[in-house]
Amino acid sequence: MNDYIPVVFEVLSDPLNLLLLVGSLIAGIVVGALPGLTVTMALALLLPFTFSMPADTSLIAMGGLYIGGMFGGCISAILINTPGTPSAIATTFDGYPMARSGKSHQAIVTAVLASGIGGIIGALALLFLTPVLSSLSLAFGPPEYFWVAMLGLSMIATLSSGSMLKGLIGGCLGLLLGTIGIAPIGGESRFTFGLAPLVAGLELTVVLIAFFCIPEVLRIVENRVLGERIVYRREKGVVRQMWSRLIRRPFLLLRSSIIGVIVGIIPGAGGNVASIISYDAAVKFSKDKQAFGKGSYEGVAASESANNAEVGGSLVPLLSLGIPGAPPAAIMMGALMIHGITPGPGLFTSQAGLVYTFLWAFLLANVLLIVLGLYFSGPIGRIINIRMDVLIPVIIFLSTIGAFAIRNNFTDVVMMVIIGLGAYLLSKIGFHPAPIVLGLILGPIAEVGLTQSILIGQAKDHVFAFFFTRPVSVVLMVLCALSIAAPLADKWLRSRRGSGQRQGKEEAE
Amino acid sequence: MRLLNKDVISAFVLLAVSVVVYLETAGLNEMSAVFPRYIGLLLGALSVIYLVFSLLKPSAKGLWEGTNKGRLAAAAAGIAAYTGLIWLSGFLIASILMMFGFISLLGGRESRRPLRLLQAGAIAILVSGFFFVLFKYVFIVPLPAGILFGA
Repeated sequence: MNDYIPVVFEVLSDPLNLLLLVGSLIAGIVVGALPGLTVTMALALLLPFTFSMPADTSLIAMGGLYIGGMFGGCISAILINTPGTPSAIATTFDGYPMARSGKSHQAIVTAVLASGIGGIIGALALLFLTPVLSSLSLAFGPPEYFWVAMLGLSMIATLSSGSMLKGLIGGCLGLLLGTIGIAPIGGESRFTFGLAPLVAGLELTVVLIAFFCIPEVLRIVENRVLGERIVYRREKGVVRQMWSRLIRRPFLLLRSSIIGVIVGIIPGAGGNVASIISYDAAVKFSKDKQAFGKGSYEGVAASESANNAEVGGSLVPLLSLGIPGAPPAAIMMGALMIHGITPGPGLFTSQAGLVYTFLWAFLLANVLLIVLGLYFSGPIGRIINIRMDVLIPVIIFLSTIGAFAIRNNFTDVVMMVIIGLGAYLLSKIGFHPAPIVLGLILGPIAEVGLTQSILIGQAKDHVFAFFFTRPVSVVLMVLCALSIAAPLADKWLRSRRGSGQRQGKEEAE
Repeated sequence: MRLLNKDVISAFVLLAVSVVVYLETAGLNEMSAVFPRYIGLLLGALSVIYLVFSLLKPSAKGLWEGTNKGRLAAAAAGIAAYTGLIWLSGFLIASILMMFGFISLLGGRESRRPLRLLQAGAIAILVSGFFFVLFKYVFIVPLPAGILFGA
């Protein structure tokens, strides 16, 4: 690597490249903050502009946009309870309650610092651990993917803030929503009821907007809290305060970032899965579990550090194996191929200068993200800091334009309204969106894993052994069991402690 | 205590969904049917448990308790009408009308004063116009023009 440091320095000290890096980071933050506008879409829109750029410059611009976009999603998640990108789902759990209790600046600063630290850890992993981590993802076959999805689904036990039964039912509904359209292995169309737009399946972003925006709008209207507004006010000393709080929790940030990196390496699982798994781990390891979901900065830090670390992780299989770990990585693969560069095992030998330039630019972008995030989140936050009676139509408007812009399809807008109204009704009955969305995200991964495992198992004449006895599968199954048992055991222990205390009081009386 | 409460009705609806899933997957090949069928069966089993719990321990709170039904219906209808209006008159006009309508209706009586109405109109035009230009000309998203305008 040392041989390439002069090349790296030369490219990164070029004012044009630095300007592009800063510009793409800011653009990414803005795009990420707009609900419905995904990082993938922004990268795809940037792709044509990179044709005329040198390969390193185009990769720098795309990397900046990817990192900025991944962070930007947290701004709207915190201020209007609407994840700007799917990766910011878990940020809404505590970010919005923080904002509602007047701690929006604290929440944003926590998100900026955690995103930056997570991103830097992801970049370091990308830089130094690429060969080691890529060998880990090679050990994953269809049964492991199935168990990874099951591990994700087992988090319903943690995410079910009310009834676990309703959480499980919600998870099933999400899994079923994920099966609409053409079967990934069988190839037949399911649950389309003769409607052509359903054949391609439900667009995840449209469903996310529907579940997180429309019910929120209706909840605000029905609760008559139209005068309420999220006040984004800069407070003195918050950066120092949150920084000292976060560095006192090094394991929280490290654990979340490692989760983000590992999830990123596994192709198919994105930032949304990383943030949810990390959030779940933060709840399980926290001494103050009750604070989660009510405005805990640890929840925001766990989600944001994981989803930004996932960016680095998702690029590991792309650079080392030629397999994009996430949709934005696939667009970046396209950008490389446009310049005649084929990502894969030979990339480090044939284009080492380019790869190391990109890796160092990636690291620099995450450092810059902290500075730019602290500075630009304010103006963006102030744009969103408007009266609720003005904000409601703006949310409806952005949701609609976001739902439409994903596929330029008007049917998606209709779908968003129908699903959104249904989601509101479900939330009134007590079915919260998180388990449903979790099912929808993990369903396709689980289905492909299950069906492929059955096919391979049948070919080998032992489906059961193929499914249940592979070492990585066994580890994942144990983790699943622990993930389900931990919140149940915690609940049981708390109820015992509660009854013990009541009994003690009665005896004292 | 009412036997037919929101949870009991929901449990029956979920049971019906699981039956539909089972019937819909009956004619499919094994690889297309296996996953949704298992989920459907699981949903059916969970719905039965939900039904039993709902009958044994019915929820005391009604579905619409503490809800301003009129305002809720108006907002839901407004969102649906906005979708229809986009199809009819295109994105820009529909968005301006929706924003103006929502701001002036949700803001209460005070928002119907001439100055506030003017303010609402300005916000509607500026916000809709800004995002229309941003998406149509910067992000090159072909926003719907509406059937009234030949699209």
